[in-house]
Amino acid sequence: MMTSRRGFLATALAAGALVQAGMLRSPRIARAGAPMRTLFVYVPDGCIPSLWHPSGSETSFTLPEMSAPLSSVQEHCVFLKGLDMYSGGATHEGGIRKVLTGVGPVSLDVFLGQKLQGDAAFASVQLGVGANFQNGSGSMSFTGTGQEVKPDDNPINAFGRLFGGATKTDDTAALLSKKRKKSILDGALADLAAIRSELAGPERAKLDTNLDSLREVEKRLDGVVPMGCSPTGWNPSGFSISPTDYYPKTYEKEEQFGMVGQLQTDLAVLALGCDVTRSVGLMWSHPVSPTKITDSGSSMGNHDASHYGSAGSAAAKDFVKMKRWFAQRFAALIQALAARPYGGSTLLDHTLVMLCSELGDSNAHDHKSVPFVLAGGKAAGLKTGRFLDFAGKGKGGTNEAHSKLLVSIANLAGVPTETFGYSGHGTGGLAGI
Amino acid sequence: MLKLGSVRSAPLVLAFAITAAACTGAIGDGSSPGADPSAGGGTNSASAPIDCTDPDQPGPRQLRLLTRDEYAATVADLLAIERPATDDLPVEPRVAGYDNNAAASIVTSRHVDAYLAVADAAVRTALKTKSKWLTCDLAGAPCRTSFIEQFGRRAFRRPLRADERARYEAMFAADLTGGSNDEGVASVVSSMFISPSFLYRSEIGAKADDGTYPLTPFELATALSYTFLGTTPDIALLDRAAGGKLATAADVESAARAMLADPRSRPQVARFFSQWLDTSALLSANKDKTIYPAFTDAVRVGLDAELSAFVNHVTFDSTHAFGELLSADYVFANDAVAGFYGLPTPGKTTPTRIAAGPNRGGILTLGAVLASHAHSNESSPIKRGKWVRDRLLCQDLPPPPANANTTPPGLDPTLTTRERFAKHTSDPSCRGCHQYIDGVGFSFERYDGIGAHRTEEGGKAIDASGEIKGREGLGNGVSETFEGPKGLAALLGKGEGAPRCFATHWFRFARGLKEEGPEVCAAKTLGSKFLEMGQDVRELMILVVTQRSFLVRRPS
Repeated sequence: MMTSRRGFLATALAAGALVQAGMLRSPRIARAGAPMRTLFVYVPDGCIPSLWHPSGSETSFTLPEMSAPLSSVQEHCVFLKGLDMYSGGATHEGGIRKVLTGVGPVSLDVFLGQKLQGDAAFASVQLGVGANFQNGSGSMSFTGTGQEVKPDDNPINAFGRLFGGATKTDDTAALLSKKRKKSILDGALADLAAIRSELAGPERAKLDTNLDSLREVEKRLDGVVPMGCSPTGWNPSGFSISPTDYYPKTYEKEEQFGMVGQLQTDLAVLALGCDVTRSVGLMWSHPVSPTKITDSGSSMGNHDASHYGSAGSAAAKDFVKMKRWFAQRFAALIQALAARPYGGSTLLDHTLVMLCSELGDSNAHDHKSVPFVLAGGKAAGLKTGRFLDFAGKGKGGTNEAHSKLLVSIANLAGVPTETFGYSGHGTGGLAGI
Repeated sequence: MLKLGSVRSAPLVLAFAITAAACTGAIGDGSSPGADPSAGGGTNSASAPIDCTDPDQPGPRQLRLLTRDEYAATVADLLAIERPATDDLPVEPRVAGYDNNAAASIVTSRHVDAYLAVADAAVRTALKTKSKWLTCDLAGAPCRTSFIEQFGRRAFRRPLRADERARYEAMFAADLTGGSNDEGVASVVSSMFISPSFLYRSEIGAKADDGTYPLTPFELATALSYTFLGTTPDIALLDRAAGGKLATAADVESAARAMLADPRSRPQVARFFSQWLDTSALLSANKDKTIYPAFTDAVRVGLDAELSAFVNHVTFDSTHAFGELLSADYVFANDAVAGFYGLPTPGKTTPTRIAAGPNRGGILTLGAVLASHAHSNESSPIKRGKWVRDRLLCQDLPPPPANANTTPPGLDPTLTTRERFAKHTSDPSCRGCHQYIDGVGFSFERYDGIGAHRTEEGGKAIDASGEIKGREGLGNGVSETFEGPKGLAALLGKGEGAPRCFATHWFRFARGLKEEGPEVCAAKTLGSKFLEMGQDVRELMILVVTQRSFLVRRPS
């Protein structure tokens, strides 16, 4: 029934309000001192530490088999070893709950999205590649009161939501439509205020989240995509969703994993580049991923292979193939960000990219030395092309806490804070980052 | 500098359920586990003891966001159209397996976008046949007002206030509609459909003299209708609420009985069972087509239909007894399912009752259950063992500790799955928890990754003997042996743990919460009553809405 895209939303947004808003505002794209963006990329099921973490010194190091595909973008990356995720739950479920929260309620993508939003239409955007499909372990984004924010696995829907209104119609209709839609939202806002006044505690907080959501949608009536930015060219191969696909949906099918990943990656770059949002979360699959990435040459599902036994086993070989495949996708993302001009340099320079997973050593289900990579962020002063080893550099000779990486990212993004979630290893960001 | 911990003071909603309850005090030491055996399959026991002197205290005030299923059913009922597709609405976070958890469900801006899109498309479809739901000419102001009042009362499941009515009347202004009253209707409906009064089932009550918040008659009507029918209350029920005929526990009970006599309750009851048994991935699960060519779409759909038909039969048509769920000697198979089970085909495309034969019968041997708890290319004793502990006994097992080596057995084709996985129970670092998992899971080994029956694996005969420790309480020192899932079902049917756990699961589904604090007592009380009443499933479903914990709410 919803085959045609976004009935109402399209009508309202299609209404040329965008173009008009663009004319009323100075283009954001070229503004000096542009705010930083953040992009959080998740890949499932940890790694084989000896085959992922680099060896060598801070500036002269080599990447082993799993992370080797990142050598093409090595100059843009900071490889991080020896960061443990402390406290909170164990194994996959505990890991995904804390990887971006540090066991606090809110995840960094959502938090920074709110802090950095400014004129951007969307506070933060959560995209998934089969991230909801057969996911029994949760996803990585959470609101300020601790509820999970599910990513959108449907790239066509996600694109429609972020850019779907960008069709021009005549201005009278546009104004009418905008006014009408505003009245619709205002009705809901008034109802919300009445209920809110009767409540306290978590139920009131829930309505506060709802209020923020309605206001964001209302604000978008003034335009989503700044002038000078066009999403044309997205989805060049014309990926579409078959209305008869049900077991599973087209975009959840294993054979579409690469295609959907490409589309969501392109969409993330587009959304950040067009300043539609300043914070994106991109989840490739999910913890305990059943996905078998056939393009990678693996014959096993990711999670099965992640139980590799020993580093030379057949499962390990398949796990390496899939980890390399993900690393290639991450490298391509970095290259796409680097290829996009922005504010006199590149979008990559203005974007802090974090690569993460929910486990360290997949075989041990542990949260030790989780495979984190930080990339981009030159405009924020991040020095890249480095390998930092925090093993034993934390409190009492333990590994350093990953929550300090979250603090560092917030600080680099221009959001001052001393802690983010767990603070058992002290306050402040990572030394030397 | 700002401390992020204090950004918002509200508590972390999805608290980690398992804290100190390791299966053994120290991994592998064989001592009794930390989990509270007295929970007896009732409730999560990780936190401090809860005082149940008052066994049925008022429950929490809640706003319960409609699930996608509830939303679609509601929109369809209100607009007299087919259910709208809700694939692009965000997936619900599941808590304890249920999609309707009030604390976990929120409205993000993606929800708002999707709600607006669905509502607009739905109302435009409905406007094509508006004579079905609009009996006057919108050109007249009285018609517009009566539309707003009547439609609003159904959408909000209570009468509109004057200020609300005025707000919606203003949406018919020509400068908003371009002169089209249909546009006015579209605006009113869209606005109502993103209002919290529509999107959340209100269970906040109205303050009474004693400081508690009894649910209002309209809230009761809403809760009953969604619990038993999965959709919004109809006009007759709202009228009953308005007429003061939905005020006492007796009123609630008789309304609940009437709903369970309504055929619409059948798919709703099946929805609960599917979430309890965790079969929601059955239809979409990836299964390796080269290993399992027999797992066709027709089989998937047939197994799904079998589950619904079976649980409906027990709940509504047969004995209503919990024991029948475990040990029925029949199945509800269509031709595809009968063929899949190796049973004589009934010559029907709809689920039809036939004799189960030696390898089927009861929930433990449902193809829907077995295929859902397996890998894409092999069975999974671990998943099935954990499923029994979690879904049938409510015994929380913690995940493997961070210091455990969880290396699974290699994929050795010369060994059976059981032989490969048996390592878990012999390895001291895993034994702490796997002593409770593997002996149970191994008994399912005669059913492969799609739930088809088999007698051998790689030429080796399959050993389906099982062992269950601590059935009536982890760490109680009792170990029992049995043969296959049917043997397990017989054991589960003898004790209190499984029926108490079933009552707890119904409590979670019906109440939209995972019990904590005083709700632990209410859930336990429900379990006790279920036992007292001879484990009648249908009576259990009614009991939950007559509890004080449901009818009355405490100050937040």
